[in-house]
Amino acid sequence: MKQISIIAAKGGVGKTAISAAFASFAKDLILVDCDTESSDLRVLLNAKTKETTIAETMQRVRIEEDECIRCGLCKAMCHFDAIINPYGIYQIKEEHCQACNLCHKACPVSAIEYVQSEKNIWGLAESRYGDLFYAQLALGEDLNGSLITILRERARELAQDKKTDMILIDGPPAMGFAVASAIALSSLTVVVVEPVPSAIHDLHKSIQLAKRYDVPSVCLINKSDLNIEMTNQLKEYCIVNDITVIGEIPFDIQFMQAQLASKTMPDYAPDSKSTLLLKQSFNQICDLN
Amino acid sequence: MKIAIASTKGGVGKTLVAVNLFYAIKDIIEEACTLVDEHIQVPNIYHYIKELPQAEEVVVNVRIPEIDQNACTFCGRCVHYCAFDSILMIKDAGHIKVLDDYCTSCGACVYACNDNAISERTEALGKVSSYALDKDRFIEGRMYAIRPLASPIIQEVNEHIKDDAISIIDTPPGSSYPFAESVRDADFVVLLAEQGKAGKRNLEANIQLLLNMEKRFGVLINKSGLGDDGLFEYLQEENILVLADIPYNRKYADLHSCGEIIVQQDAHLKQLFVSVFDKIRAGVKEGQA
Repeated sequence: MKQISIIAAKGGVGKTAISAAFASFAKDLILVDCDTESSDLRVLLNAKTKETTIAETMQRVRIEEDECIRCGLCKAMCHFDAIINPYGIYQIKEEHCQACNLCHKACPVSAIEYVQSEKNIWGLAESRYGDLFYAQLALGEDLNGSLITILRERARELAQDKKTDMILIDGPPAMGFAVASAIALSSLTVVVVEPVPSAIHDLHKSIQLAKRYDVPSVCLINKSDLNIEMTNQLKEYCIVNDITVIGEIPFDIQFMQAQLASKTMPDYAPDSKSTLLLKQSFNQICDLN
Repeated sequence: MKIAIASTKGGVGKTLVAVNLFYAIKDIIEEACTLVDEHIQVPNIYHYIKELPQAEEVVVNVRIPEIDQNACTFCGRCVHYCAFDSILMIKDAGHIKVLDDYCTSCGACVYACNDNAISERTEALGKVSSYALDKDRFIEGRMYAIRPLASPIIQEVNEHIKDDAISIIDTPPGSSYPFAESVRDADFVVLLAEQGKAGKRNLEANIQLLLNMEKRFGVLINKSGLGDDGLFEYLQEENILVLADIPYNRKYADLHSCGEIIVQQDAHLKQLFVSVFDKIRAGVKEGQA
């Protein structure tokens, strides 16, 4: 089974559009939308939700005012300054709390409760290319990527059950812990990059991350003619670092138009140069794996 | 006055707006203005500032636990206390270690250990750099390694700018900790949006987030003119402040990709950002009244 993840250090380079196009070429696969804040792949593929489940990934602590003896131990030991005591009443500052659970375990009178947050969900939806896993994250919850790990594990289980050959993971934006969770155990990760001034740095960070998790990576340059000099530098970087460039797609306004029409590129512009280039990139991935 | 440029979706133009808003207004307002890059995982604003002066740097440290295998009795208390599964213990092999990648530096293991086998070493999590630009400043937060812990750096950046007259903050994408931390102190949030079904869905979710946080905000629509008017109609119906819409223009994409500041070459866009700033200022005043 191939598990392919698509990531990028910078947002808006086309991860989701490329994932959707690849899904349409693969025809039968399992999809994972790791953008837990805005699951655009689900919207773009018009996937219908089949089931949703509360994700038990995030806990919250709460101080019971009646039981608290105001000893201040919790406040003194918290490494995140997440406990405050205005007017002598000890409270959790939720936005600082990392849910490490230390105060709960250390409280001498067990006045601190550890409760499951029920604000995060993950879901399974049906798209015309196969089942799609997605999640919705509440504000300020989950920094360690455990929700994405759930999606990845469920996708793998389902792929084994259904004997599906390919799992395609549309990665979360930026370069946080969520991205590490998304690419873990992939057989290949596609780093999408566009030639902006930070491009080399963005590509380097993504490649380094993949290396750290022992995932082979390839590079796809999107909007390549926006800054030709930078595109050449990117290609040079790839040669020096032995990274295969699986495609170079010039800027094409049809990407935006397809997205606005909620269509994949192969659907919106089947005979376009961009679709052809996407298809060639996809074929290269299949050959590499 | 803190102005946060935000969108949970990546690639809608946060950096473009932050940089160009800063350059559009800095020479026409009397107050000192600070441009802030809080996209700590992959900061990229520095590419747009020509001739950066020497930085004043503050290193942000975290404490990482270290286990002395000789002193350890393999009781397993630290493993039990760790809420992040970041201690690996193989009792039979006499092996125990902290998995740095997953550690949030909460200190729970140190507290749990009864054998004084766990000490903490200081490690640099990242740094905050401050650059003087005549009357103005540029501040950048940067995280060195990928860790499930971003807030200490953003807190340090916020500490740097807490007394500034005007600051324009480029926030990280996503709605998890870094985003919440970045937006929390803002007096006004410029919410970026794009047309289309996914764009509208994102915007609705973002608006809900900001309403829950009781933030003052306005919407700036980027790359407009390609889709239908659904987004505008929605904003009008909901009576939401629209700051401006930036029409799609290939020239803007080219200039931004090449590291240029668009408002220095396009008087029309400069005027647009000046009017956006006037609306922000009026919005903040209204909030104070």
